[in-house]
Amino acid sequence: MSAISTKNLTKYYGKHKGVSNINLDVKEGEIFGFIGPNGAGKSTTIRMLMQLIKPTSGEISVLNKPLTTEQHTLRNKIGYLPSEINYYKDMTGKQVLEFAARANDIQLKDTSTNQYAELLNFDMSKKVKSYSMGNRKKLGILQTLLHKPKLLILDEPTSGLDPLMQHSFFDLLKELNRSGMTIFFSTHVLSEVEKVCDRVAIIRNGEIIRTSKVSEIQESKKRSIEVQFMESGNLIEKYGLQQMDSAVGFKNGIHYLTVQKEIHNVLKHISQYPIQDISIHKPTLEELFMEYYEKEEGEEQ
Amino acid sequence: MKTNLIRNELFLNRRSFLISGAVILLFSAMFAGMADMYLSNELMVELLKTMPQGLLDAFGMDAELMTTFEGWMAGEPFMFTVLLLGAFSGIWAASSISKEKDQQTGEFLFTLPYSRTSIFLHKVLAQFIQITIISIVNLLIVLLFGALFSDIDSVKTIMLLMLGAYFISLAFAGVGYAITSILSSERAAISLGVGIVLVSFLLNMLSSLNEELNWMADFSLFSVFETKQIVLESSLTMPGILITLGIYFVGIILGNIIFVRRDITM
Repeated sequence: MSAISTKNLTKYYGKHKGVSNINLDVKEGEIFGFIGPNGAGKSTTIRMLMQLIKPTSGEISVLNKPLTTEQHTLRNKIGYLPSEINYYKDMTGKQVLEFAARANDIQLKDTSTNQYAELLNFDMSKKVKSYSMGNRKKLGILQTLLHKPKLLILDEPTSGLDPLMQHSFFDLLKELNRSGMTIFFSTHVLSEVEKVCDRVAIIRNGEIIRTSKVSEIQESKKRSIEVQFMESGNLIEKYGLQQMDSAVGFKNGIHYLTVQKEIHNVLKHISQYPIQDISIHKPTLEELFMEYYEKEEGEEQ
Repeated sequence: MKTNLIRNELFLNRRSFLISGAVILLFSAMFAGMADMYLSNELMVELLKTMPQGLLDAFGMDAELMTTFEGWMAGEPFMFTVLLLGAFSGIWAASSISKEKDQQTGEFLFTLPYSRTSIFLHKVLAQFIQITIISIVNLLIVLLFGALFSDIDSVKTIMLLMLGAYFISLAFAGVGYAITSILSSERAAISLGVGIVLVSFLLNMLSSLNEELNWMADFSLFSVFETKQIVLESSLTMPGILITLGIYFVGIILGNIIFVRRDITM
């Protein structure tokens, strides 16, 4: 069963392309990451899912309901956190939450809001205008969760949260996901996707360029090697490092090699020379992502 | 009926509601309380008779009517009530949706489990309550001060005058509803809300000053009801009622259609 399904979803603002031919299939119960740099089309896609803006063409189905007409009752089952959340400035956090609870036909006291507020170290009694960006985000998280939605749609959810809070937030997301909640979240911070997501779609210039499991991307054979030889200086030419099946660089006395295929031959080659230090690691998702982007851009040019 | 939405809109407008209410009631109390100073003042009536009729019409004054409390209230006080209540009604209506965009609260409100039509109509309903409350209290103040400091011959005439001002204010609100979804700034909404009322007032004034400009009155809501007729015949004309309420309802319908169809961009 799909929690979110889009077919050739396209949005144009006049002649300017927002997104084009977006095909998503988010399964119920999974945590799906939607990654891309700022302006790639993440928020445009999410706003179409929330029916704030209408697609130019294409189809959307959320929780198995096609969004051909306004489906406001469906929002009882969706928790939405926009990237920049703003509430009525003269209300207290509690008044905002009570308003949102009544909109969902529930009472605030019957929800887990107090428990979550404690977890996020959030004071509901203050007025919205006195909240920092981080506290507004926390209020947004509480509002998003108060009606126990089946589907969470989060747009850049951690912006404004300090690292400690981000950690608590991701723990909370994992816990909610274990209880059956589907989570769709957009970000440009790849380490966040690495931490929690099952699958990921990469969007660039309004088009999805890859959708796959996070583990599949990480299982690439590519490795990064950092070598410091006993001999000082740039030894790329002297040791013939440029002849190997790898990208090579030198900076601050360290030689960097990015090996695309088998690591065996590279190690055999560099072991001929006296080595002071060496480290081999899998590239982070960030490095893979950047490489993927650069490759796509290169192909376009 | 979503009382949650009505309460929210009333909460958001509470300051402007109290300010507008206080200003309108203060003016009405002042006008009603001072009525006899003008009515019993022979010199004032004589002075008015010497002034050109066009100028008097422009400012809502009529020497013939300045002999009774009802006649006095049909002049300048009526103009002021329409100007103030109309402007506040126009501002509230024009800000309904635009303020949610401007303050970027729309992404919260418009993603709650309410349909856009429901949100729009409950905002209209909340503002209808505001306008109605001010109008009723205003009527009571005029009647009270009239009874205390002057002589009221016909309560019905006073009620009809206030009802006329109320209908015109609703019409200004209707214009505001029609444009609120197109606007994305609260400041623009306030300017337009006030601007429409002032332009309407100006058209009415200019039409009175020169016969060649009489056609301008057809485009002014200030001339929908002939206050002299209300005082003399103690009735509101049906075309006036139909025009004002027509503008109000058409504005609501049009505004809702635009709101439902448009993308919400913050």
